Amino acid sequence: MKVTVEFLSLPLITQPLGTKKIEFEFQGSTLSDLARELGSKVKRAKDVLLASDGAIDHDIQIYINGADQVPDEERQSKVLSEGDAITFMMLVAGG
Amino acid sequence: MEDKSPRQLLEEARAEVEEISVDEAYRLSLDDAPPIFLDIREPEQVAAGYIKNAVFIRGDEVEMHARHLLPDKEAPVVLYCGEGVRSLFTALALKEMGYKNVRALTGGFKAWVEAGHEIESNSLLTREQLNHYSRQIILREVGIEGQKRLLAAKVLLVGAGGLGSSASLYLAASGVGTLGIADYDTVSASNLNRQIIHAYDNVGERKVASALETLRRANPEANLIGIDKRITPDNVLDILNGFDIVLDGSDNFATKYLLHDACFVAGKPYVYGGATRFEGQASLFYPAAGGPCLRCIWPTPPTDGLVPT
Repeated sequence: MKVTVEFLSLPLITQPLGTKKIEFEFQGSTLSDLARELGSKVKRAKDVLLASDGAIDHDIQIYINGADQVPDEERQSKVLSEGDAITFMMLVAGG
Repeated sequence: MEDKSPRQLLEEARAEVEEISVDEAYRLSLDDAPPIFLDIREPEQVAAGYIKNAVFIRGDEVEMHARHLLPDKEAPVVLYCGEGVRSLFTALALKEMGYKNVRALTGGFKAWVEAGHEIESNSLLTREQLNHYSRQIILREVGIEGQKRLLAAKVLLVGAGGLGSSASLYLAASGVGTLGIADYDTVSASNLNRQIIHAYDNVGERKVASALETLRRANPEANLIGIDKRITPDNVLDILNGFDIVLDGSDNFATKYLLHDACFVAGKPYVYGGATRFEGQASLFYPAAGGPCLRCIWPTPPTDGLVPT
């Protein structure tokens, strides 16, 4: 499945990547599948997006097609559709 | 060509411009969709009283700002000045700019008062204030009522750093009446590229003292309160006390969550601000008004180190 992935306030990923938004093709259908494959193919994504148990880290918020954040219970299992735009976002503290 | 006398010019303007009586204008002012009342008098005249909901712009500046003030050239506008003469010329100028529905109030504000129609009789703003804030008072979203609310507002800004520098200067300059600045740091030269409230002279000084000095110059009438303390769970509620809203320009999650939680408890609106590199985040959290809190979205502070500050 091919989706658009955007990383907001995640410079640890976007700096080596050189961009905030990528087209990404992955095997599977869920957010968890996407995150796992990002973790294996995008530099630093594993450290930032995935917790030690392999699930999407709770520090990361997820938005699909600009809608409200994905609720906790759907963070791993949410089924994506071809062409979806997925945003991973981190809270920023710098003042 | 012979120069025209003022009387001739007035006659010509009167022939071109439609006038409206104060009684008719008053009746229209009560409509669900009233015309825009444009007050073109001097600030000291406005300070003494004005027609309710009027928009203010000095007569000689109307043409310059017309496109912003009156974006709809079809919208009904009633122009008024002191006695109904200058408004004729300004109305004529607007008509020549393509405004289709501009009328001048016969007899001006004086006639309105003499007819006994309702006015806002005390703007509570001085001539100097009306002048200082004139560019935002002319914004219909602000107006005199909005300016009065700003002057009455008590804002606590935490962090006199990158975010706090810009925010505090704008808040003070725009007339926020009471502005608290909290920080617990000293100015270093490496701050100066972005923390524009401080300057080279201030390197080594406490940030709060440096910020207050700059803010006093930006707006001498603002009531500025310096809080040169580290904010802790023990003092946070005391520090918040007396302020209406908190702007958080602090630079760490621990302070941000502490301030957020204290605002949650105190029922005050909390404005989050965070920046890193070329990205920034800002959000208002005000659960007392029905919205979500920060912890509804990020239940616990993110792990330090994942996000550079």
